Amino acid sequence: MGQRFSKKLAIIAVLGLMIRVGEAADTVTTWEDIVKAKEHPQNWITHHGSLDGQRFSRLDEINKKTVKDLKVAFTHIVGGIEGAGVWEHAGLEGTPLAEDGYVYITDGWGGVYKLDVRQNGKLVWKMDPDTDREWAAAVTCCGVDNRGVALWRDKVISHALDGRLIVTNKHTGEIEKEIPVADPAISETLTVAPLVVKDKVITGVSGADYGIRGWLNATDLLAGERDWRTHTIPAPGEPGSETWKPGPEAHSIDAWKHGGGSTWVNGSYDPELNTIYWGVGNPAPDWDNAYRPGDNLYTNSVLALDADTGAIKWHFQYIPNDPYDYDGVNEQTLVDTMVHDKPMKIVLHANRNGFAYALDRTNGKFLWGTPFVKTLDWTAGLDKYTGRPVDYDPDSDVQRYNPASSVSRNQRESTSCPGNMGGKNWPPTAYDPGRNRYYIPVIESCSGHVNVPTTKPWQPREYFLGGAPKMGPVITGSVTAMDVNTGKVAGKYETTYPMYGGLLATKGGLIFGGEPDGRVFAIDSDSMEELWSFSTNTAINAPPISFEVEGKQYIAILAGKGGAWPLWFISATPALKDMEAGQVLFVFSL
Amino acid sequence: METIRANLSLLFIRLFVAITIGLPLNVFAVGPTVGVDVARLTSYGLSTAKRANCFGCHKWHGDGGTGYGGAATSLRETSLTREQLILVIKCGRPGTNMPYFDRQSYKNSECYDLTFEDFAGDDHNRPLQGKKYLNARQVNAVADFVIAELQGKVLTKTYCEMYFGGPTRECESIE
Repeated sequence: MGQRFSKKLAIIAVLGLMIRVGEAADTVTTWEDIVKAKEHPQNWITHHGSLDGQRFSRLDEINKKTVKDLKVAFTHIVGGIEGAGVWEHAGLEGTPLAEDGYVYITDGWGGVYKLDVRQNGKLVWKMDPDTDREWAAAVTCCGVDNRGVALWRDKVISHALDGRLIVTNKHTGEIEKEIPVADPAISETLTVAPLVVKDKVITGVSGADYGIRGWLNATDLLAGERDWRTHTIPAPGEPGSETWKPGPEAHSIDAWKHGGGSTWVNGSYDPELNTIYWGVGNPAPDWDNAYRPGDNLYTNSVLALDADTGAIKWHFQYIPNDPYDYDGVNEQTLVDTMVHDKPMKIVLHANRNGFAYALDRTNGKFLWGTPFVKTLDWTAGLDKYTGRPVDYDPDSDVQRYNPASSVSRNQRESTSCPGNMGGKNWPPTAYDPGRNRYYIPVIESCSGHVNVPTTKPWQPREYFLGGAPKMGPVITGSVTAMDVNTGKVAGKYETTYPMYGGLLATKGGLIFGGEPDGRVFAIDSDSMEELWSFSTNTAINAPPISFEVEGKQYIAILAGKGGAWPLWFISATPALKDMEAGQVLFVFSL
Repeated sequence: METIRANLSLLFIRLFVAITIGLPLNVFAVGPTVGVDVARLTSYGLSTAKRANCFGCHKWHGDGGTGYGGAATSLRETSLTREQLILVIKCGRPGTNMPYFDRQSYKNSECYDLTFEDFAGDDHNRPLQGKKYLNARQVNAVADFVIAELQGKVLTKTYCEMYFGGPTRECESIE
């Protein structure tokens, strides 16, 4: 009896080992897998679905005809909702990843969850990074958030708000390495999802509103140490440093030291050009541009960087010496397509300033720039050759653009359209290559600005804003489609609320998105008419993805009120005042 | 037209009063009600102020300053009386980001003699609603917390640890 029992145990153990080995073999994510992600649409293994940032799924089981039958397949309650400091609760802004039947999601504190789709979303493991919550949350400007993980070999790569890069074993959920990358003592925090490029991981930083000097950081995952770091604000003597002139105060002479330029939204990567494209955020202090005379490179810019060295190949600045807190941090979408009927390699970007831009991504040359919001008054337009705002004054070190819309030390209040949350905030766009259309989650808004001259020097762990936003009218939203060839708006789907979640385009001819009242919707990619919706009744602040398991297509989206809007911007959307915080992964299928 | 002008003038005068009441007035503050258990009152005032998002703008240290909630007054430097604090908490400060927390505000004329009708079409000055409504007991508790722990006081480690509920890293560098 005992011997037979031992034999059975041995067989079970061997089978278990085989299953384990088989699982391991199936779930190693190679660089080739990542580069060729489009050839495996059953998986969604990078933040934007593919390195080019298109957020386009080549699955089409769910399409214009079948989407009416879309229903909840399963849900999973997500933890880590606890608040800290001024934050009453955390939020969900992450993009799930899906690989070989498993889904990886994060909570706001950087907790990582591996779920088994074949078992109705059952938890396989959870990694809790034990984030130093009070320490980090006290210097996060805009919510306790984490935007997702990256996959590399048999590891899951993630960030914690308190500045750590964490390497977790994909099969066991055990933490294998913790590498300090950002320092909350000087207000650097991490909310961005990691971007794996070969055996490096690229990390962007948050904290411009606290006066950090921004950077992009590459960590060598094999060595477990920094490979390169490129600052987004040049030091004296470096190219671009001439755009940081001495300010009028004794403490603003070296304004560049606390010049901002965060990098908290994932960039994109072109393997052929070996180039990383990454947006850079606002200068600091945000609303006091007299403190930082000059164009303030590379704030409000896109950087094209050599992936091996971090060297800047070229840059394009959307708004020099920004007085609006418009930011340039949003994602960069790489597309090989026709522009003005010519084949081009371009990079698309929807800026908070309300303009969508197309640049030649081989050299940064401006191709077109078009307003995607209904109301835009901060400039009369963009120069058709340079893409610069036509109101830019080359003879002035302190820009006003439309003076009625911007604040200065002499005009302490103003109202601009879009407002300071932008015509579009961080929630990502989607691109449909078959239609050559670029879909933008829009915040249709105007809001006020207040200038408060920066009379005190920078203090660690204190806001460094030089002013503040001021609530204006009630705001709404839309999904706006751009024709990339012409650079014209091709259609709009109006939403009741501003779009605080991102978009997904699919080969099924659909655009998926969600509103902050919890409604998830699918619209027709051509007509922009709504074809399906479902009320999660839990605010949507995250973008959807699509994947396939055993021949069935799924749509997944995190629902969980997060970001800055519940704390400070609720008076612009008073109908959302009583939305409760809750955290759920919703997964839909036919 | 004349009637509109007269109404606007009246509104501006009232708004001026409403806005300037948030600035130092060089009046002496009065303390919390005599005979109250100060520790319990402080704890209740702090938890209420947290729920109402007071610290989202005035910061955890109460010193205010610029932020995404607006350019907030320092509660350590304010010289408002208890009655004035209660009025500002209940009614907010129209024209700024300071919201009102009393459910009845601007439905009657108890706030600076203004009602919502006075702000019709005026997005610049309209009163902003607070994150949560506070009842009279809660409003009083927040005002008493400000007076007991913030007004005229320097930031201490004791306050920091009370706010964060323990000896967090944030409090280590404070004397």
